[in-house]
Amino acid sequence: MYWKDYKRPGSVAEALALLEHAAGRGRIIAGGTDLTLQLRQRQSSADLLVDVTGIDGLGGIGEKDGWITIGAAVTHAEAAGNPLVRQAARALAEGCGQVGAPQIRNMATLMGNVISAQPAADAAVPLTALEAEIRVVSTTGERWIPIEEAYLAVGRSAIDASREVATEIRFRKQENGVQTRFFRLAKRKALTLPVLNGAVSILADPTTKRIRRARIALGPVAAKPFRARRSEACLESVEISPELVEEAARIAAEEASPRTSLVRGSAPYRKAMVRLFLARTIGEMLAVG
Amino acid sequence: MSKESCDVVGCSVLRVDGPDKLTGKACYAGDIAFTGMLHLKLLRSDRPHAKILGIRIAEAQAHPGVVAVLTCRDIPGTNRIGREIRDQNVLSVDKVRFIGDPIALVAAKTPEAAEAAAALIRVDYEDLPGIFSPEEALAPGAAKIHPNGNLLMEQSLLRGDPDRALQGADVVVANTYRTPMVEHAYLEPEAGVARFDGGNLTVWMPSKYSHFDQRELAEAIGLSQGLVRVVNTTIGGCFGDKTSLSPGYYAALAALKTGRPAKMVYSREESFMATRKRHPFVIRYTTGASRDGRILAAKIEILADTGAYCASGPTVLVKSLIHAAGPYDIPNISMKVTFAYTNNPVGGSMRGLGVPQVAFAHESQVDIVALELGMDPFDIRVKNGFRPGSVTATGQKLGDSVSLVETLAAVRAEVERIGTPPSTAAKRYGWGVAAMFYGIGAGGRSNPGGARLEVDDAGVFTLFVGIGDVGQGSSTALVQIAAEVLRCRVEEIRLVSGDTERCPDSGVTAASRVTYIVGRSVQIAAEKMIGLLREAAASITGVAPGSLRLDGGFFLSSEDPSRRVSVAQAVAAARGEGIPLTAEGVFDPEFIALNPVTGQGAPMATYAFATQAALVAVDTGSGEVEVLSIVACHDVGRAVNPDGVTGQIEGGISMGVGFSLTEEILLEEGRIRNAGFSQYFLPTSLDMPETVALIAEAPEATGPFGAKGVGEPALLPTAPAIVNAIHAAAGVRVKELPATAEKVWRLLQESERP
Amino acid sequence: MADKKKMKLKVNGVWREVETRPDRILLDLLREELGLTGTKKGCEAGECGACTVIMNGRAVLACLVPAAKADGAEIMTIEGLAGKGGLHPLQQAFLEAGAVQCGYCTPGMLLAAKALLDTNPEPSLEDVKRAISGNLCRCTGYTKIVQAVRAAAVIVRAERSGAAGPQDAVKQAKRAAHR
Repeated sequence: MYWKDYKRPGSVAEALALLEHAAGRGRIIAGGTDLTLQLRQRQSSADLLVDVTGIDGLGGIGEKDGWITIGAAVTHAEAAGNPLVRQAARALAEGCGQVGAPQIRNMATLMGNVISAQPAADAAVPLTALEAEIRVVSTTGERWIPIEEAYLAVGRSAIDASREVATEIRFRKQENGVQTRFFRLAKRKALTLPVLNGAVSILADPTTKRIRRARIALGPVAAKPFRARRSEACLESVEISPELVEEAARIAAEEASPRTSLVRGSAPYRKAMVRLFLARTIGEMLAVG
Repeated sequence: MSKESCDVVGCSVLRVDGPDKLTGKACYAGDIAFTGMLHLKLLRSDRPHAKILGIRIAEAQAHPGVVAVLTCRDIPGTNRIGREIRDQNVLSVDKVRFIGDPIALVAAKTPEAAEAAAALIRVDYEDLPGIFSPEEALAPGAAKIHPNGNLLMEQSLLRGDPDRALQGADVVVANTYRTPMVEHAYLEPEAGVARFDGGNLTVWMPSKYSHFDQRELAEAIGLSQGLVRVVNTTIGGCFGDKTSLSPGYYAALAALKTGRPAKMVYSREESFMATRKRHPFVIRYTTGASRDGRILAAKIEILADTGAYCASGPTVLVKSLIHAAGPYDIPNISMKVTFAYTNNPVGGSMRGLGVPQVAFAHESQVDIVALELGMDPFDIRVKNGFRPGSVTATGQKLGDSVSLVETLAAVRAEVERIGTPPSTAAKRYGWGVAAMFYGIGAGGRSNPGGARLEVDDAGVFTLFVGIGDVGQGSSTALVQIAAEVLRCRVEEIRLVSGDTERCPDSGVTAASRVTYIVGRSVQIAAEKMIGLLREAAASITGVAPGSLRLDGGFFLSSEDPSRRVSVAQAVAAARGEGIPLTAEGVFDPEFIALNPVTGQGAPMATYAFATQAALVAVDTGSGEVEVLSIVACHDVGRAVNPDGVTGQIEGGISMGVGFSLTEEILLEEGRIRNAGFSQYFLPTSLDMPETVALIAEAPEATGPFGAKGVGEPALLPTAPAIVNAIHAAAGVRVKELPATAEKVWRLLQESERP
Repeated sequence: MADKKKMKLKVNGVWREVETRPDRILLDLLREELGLTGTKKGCEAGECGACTVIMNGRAVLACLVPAAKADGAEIMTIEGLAGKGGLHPLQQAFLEAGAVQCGYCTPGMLLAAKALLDTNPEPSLEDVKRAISGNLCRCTGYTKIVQAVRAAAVIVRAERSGAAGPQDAVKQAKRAAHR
């Protein structure tokens, strides 16, 4: 058997109780597009699946106290089409809209995208640029994990889906003037993991002609969605110019460490693409270069 | 049902198999289930080259739900298969030659039990040196993959004196081209079901050649051929494969040994790993031309990786030889084509059989020569292109059905109409063109079609043909041809296909031969049927048979318009006189086999011609190539079903887009690293260009109503057109497919260095 | 933890009760337990779209849906697309456009298209291509499929607006194009 039982609790408390009873052999499942396949291909195993998509309160997108909140059951299709997400976090809407294929987007959740802990996840990368946090509830209490701390290794999340329930993603509603963008390079236009993806968030000050805050997240150039911090610092350092954009892109290509991959391409090419796509994206956002 | 009121041939008649496919009623082999049916799973080799010292099956046999675990010792028959050389086993005996070679078969009550048990089988291997390229295979001292060594076959062609001609040429262009291993990737994974009824075995499977599979399966498994019936299920795509060793064979073996019905469906990964592939080619090509654009000479050397077994290697070799010089009048040609065994996956028949590979080479060469001469790429092709009466590389004088130049003109006009968007530094646009010719039929040997028509008391006709529709629309086209001759509607003809018990052997669904060869056989059968019925109608009416004409179900007399006889009446009269109302048609195109040394001969009775042009956008920063538009014009002789023809062209184009830009089997020491759709990239709907598919018709006198074929031609010019477009757009020449973004990027980087 | 699990699904308008192993996927439940073999198995990995069905109004891949997740859900398979009056406009359009070749991708393709038309009655060319971008086809090159979906959209809109029939729908579409 790939799993022995499947339950759909009506509350987070019930979900936690089921997990506890399963003593580590239970697993939270949301959309299931990753997990179902992993279990059937015997890359991981579980006895009990606890489906959280029916839990009230996990299915919404909202705004509260300056945070944008996305419930654990929200699908990529829902996020991509949501007016609030599209307006407040364009890069996230774009990333969600380019995952896999329509059918995958209809099932797969953003939370699942984070917990699958893949470096190139198209929702997780923009969420990283947005400095999102994940709310995790367990029998001992609840905590908020910054998204960057949610990754232990490729395919291993810091969130233990056999003992905890991740209920919500949140990120600060960006100030007026913040622009975000998503980019993606892939071998074809659907049903394909990216060779490179990235999300950029820029808050530029038109009076000082400087970037007050830059956030750049890239994948798959490291074991998890990668914050190009040196590149961000560069962008924030001096007045905006085409040379600044080029330099920031160059630095990001240096800091990123993609490896030569049979399917994705060589390391030199992938680094060159980091540089190219960042230069183009940031240039477009700033209307320079 | 016809869309417009018109005669049947030439009409886009709705597909006869359409409604069932659209409603989920069509039965594919994987849909069949019988009570008590066993599910099968193969244990396959995970080594590329090894001796089998022992196979331990006890643990697997003991697994719950397992009914039998079979090895080669359990096969009463020859255990040998192969379209050309029987060098492959149903279950390996003492050696495995590629990763995926089948070793043992588990039959169990559920697919899960079969799979779990197969994982418990232990094989003791003694690894042998693995050989992963044809160069390695042919090096002296290389480990022998087969007892007779690693050379499968080598053949030459010589016409005129190419060395001398090259010396006198104003322009000489020499390049090496490489094409990858490619996967058929039909959406339906291989499947088969077998069941004994009394002593008779029926095997249901998607087969492109039921009669061949019946013979081979019976002999290999060890059954009397007369007791084996192969019934074609709906075929979910074939593109050259889905014949010879397939799940149906294993189902037959399991049914024989267990007495129970048995079913096997390959997983997608298994379909990638274990089934045949397009041969990777290395092509060394030298072209010489005069200043005024005449191609004077071509010297071509091809080295192909035929993989672990022979499969259709020889046929692919011969087709490559026939077509490698392209559709051009070249008086001096030499070729050497060499196919070598390796421990890579098996090379087999895939749409075009070597010609997509050589077309990439010959169309790149012609483009490069044109550039050197400052000549327009259309003009050089018009100047050198075949016309009626031209002589091919094999010395064959072409007939009248040659309209290559018309296809060039049609495509050129459309390209000019569409135009080219203005390029920027970051995004460059360009058009590329490519032409091709493709012989219809097996090539250099007999390959008869066969058809049989019967008529019942009510006057309803039934057409029996051995080949099944692989998706290309053959069922509809054949029924249209019959209906045209019989002057009735398509709905009034029943079709039975692919059943070895009821249908004649029509040869294989391949080589783009069905419309031409089987269609002609159908036409012959239908004409004979009319002859039989006309005699009977004449005897009823008392008028001369010659004055009777069949139309709309009645024989009408020109002598006496008041006399008319229905088909049913004619049938009754014939039966009354004891005349059997069965008409058979066999058409075997004429050919002259190729001389083994000079390659000279007339291997095919007719050829199809085509031109395609591609508009691409090259992102000069990333190397990404987007195909925006493809214009295609194909000379099909006569389009029996125009929508069917354009549908084939569009499908061929999508396969060509994949071949040129994204598709390649990635091998590491004989192991396929990308054995799935997420890492082997077929074009999706978003990757397809806008297409303009035009039909040209230069009627082939020996074809049914002038028809030739289009199935494989559809694919052939696409990749070279795209590669030529990349050069036109970005100034870089891709010589190794696929033209991935990274490859184009590297070429652009290199071209920028001083 | 049971050997079998009971589930109830509304498939093509009819409630069906099934008892099956708890780790069944929806695709196998439809094909095996319910005998609805119209939904096809192309890869079992969510990579080809052949197993597309409509679940609670959205196109999903049945090979990735645990059957237990579909407990209580409404499912449409290819067998449920045609109505009592005959073929659905999508099926008819596919037939007339020559958009069916080997037919293996066709059920999934039709349902992906149906899901599109249910939520977007006036899809652009790009909308149509995107809606079927998760359905691989190796035979047709997608060209006639896209044409068929667009033609069907016109007819479905006309039917919804109560026009007299397909002829009217085509006339309406032509008029709209010239505005």
